[in-house]
Amino acid sequence: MTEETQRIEHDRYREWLTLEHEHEPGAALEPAARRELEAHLDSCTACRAERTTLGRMDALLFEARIGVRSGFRDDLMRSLPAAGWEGKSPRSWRLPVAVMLLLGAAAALLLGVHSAETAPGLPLIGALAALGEAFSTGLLAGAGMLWASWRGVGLALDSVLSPSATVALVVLVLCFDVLALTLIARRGRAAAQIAPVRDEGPGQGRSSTARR
Amino acid sequence: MTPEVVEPTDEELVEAILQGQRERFGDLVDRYQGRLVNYLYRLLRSVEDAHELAQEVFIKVYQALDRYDPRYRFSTWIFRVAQNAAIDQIRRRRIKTVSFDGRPDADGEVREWEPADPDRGPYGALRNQERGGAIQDAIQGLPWEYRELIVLRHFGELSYDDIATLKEMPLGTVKNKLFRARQMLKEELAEYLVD
Repeated sequence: MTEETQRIEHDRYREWLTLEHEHEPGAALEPAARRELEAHLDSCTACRAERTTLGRMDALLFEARIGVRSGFRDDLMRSLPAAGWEGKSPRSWRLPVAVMLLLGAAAALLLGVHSAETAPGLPLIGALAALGEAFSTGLLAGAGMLWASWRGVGLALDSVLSPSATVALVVLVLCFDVLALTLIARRGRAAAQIAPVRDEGPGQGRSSTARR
Repeated sequence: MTPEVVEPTDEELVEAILQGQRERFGDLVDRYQGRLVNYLYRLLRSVEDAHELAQEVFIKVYQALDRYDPRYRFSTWIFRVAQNAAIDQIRRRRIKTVSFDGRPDADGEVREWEPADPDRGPYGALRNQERGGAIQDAIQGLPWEYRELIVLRHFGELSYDDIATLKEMPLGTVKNKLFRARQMLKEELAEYLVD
């Protein structure tokens, strides 16, 4: 074996030595390479010395680590500002959604009572039909297809809904308003507490090869 | 027999935080504070700046947590944020800290030496300072691309795979560059590696 070939062989084993403690897939030495390395180390004093030196260097670098200031975590957690996304988290939605469901149930109950009066035997279908009519009337009004003003809408509603159903509809509308206002208020409070943040998601950050 | 406790992954912790368990962010801080502070310290060469910037990085990460894409590893993401913050900091101001002997280093920057261990006595403390300075010098003397990888690997404790993702390099290139970087470091630190 020539001197040059020997040097290349040693370089290869030395490169493997830096990987011998790796365990992750892709970085760890293959079992065959590991066996070959061990066999080489048995017969090569220079590579054994290299292994010892690398071990010492790892230890030296490990010792050079600094400790984290005491209380770092607690200070950080105490001063952690609210994030914009917290206003959108499920926890923040729980109360408005619960209120919404409760009011919705009350509205459905009123509609059911009304439809039971007008269409006995089919309370659910009656309720759904009344609700459908109310929404279609609202949609027509919103699209400007109804010639009348809000007074006209009122008259139209009167023609399809009983007083109890009208109350139910009003409750539903109020319910939506409460929900919208709660969410707007929460978003406003959260936004006021945080500074703008740059988008630094994976693949969106700046070049990772930026240099000093 | 005590049942084995399975630690949640970083990605599971993120999910819990996004579901409203804000206090779980403390677990992520526990996992990454040492690694981030050490990584930033090696780049900024100031203990105080490293802590300050690590805090900023954690806050930034928390603020942007809903934008985290779980297809990527959390460790890669947080170190990318830290890397960008460090580069910003280095660009924003020249590092001026009190040095051991008050002289600027080869880059024209004044350097902060590592604090001595008070238990080692006067000789040990001096030796410790010398060694800390030698390690810093050796790392500082590496070309930037090697220095970054050594710091990510030995002080940020990132896996080869994470480094490859973070630096957008093939895994083989990372292995090769780290090998070369360690060879250079070994030569520079030779006097501290003998018996």
